Amino acid sequence: MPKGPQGQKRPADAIARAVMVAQIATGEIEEDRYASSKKDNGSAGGKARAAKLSKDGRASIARNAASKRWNKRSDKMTEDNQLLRSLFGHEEHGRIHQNVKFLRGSSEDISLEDFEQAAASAFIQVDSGMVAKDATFAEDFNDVAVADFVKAL
Amino acid sequence: MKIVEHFCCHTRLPVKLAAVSEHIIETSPVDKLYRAAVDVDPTILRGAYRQYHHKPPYSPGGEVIGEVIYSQHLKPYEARLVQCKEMLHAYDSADAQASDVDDVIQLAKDIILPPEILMKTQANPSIHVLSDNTMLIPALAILLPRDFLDEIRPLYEADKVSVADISKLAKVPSAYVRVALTPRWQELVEQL
Repeated sequence: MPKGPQGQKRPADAIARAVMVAQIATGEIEEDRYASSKKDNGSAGGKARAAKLSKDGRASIARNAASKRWNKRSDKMTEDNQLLRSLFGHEEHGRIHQNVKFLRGSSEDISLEDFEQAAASAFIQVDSGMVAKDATFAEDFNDVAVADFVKAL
Repeated sequence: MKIVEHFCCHTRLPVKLAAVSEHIIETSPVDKLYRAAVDVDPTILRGAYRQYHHKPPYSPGGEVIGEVIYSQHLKPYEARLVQCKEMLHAYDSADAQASDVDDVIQLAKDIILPPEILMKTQANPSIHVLSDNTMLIPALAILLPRDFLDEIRPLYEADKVSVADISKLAKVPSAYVRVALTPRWQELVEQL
């Protein structure tokens, strides 16, 4: 049996089906006379379950579902953790993080908060274009032959 | 590390960072290396390395990008050493890469501790922080090549050349030159 986009019944005969679709399109007949679609039937169980549950029960199920949807990564990537966001927050632009390493500063006592803030700030400066990226690694130094240096001693 | 061997016979100093980056691109999974000098407090963070796979939407393939980031407030010789150390992380094995959120969180917690305190307080430090803390050694071994040290060490011991002279020639901070001139330095490098 041919079906409409939401599982509605359609005539088996191709010409009758075409006429019917044209009638629906021009408003001659109402589509909603086929209201009992698969979509409605599919969610009927959930609606019945919800009707039987208390408000607290429904809220608890919703909370669990929301928690499952937010994976581990999202839980840790809170608003204030800019370091994680600066590393992992570019996937929609086709950028997948692979590795990060640091060289801590010379201070004996560095707080985690200060460190994360400094690291995030460094990455944000690069990502926002505030600082230029250089692929040449060029330096102003002139090189000297070691043999010449030793001879001169 | 093979890159240390590659530069061990370098006969002209200073070893150029451009040569190091070129060799890394040829021999590591990284397709492009960039550096950027950023405005961060060097007493908190001297440098960082970030690596990602970049494949813009609707484009084929993609490439692995490595970014070397260092504090613009570092002195030039120290900035060279920091950049060299950071770009060597392009060779990090899959195990040593801080690739997921948990790795990064743990690395940040560990790296804020001075290495000597980390070793005292943690029986088994993670491979991420170990690779981070030890990469200065091969970086220094590249900028102060083995053959050069072998030639200069007797002259240094005979007081014919000073740490400052060597530092000026190799463009490496004096404190690190002093470390590389100790008799056990080569043994340490060979253990890598």
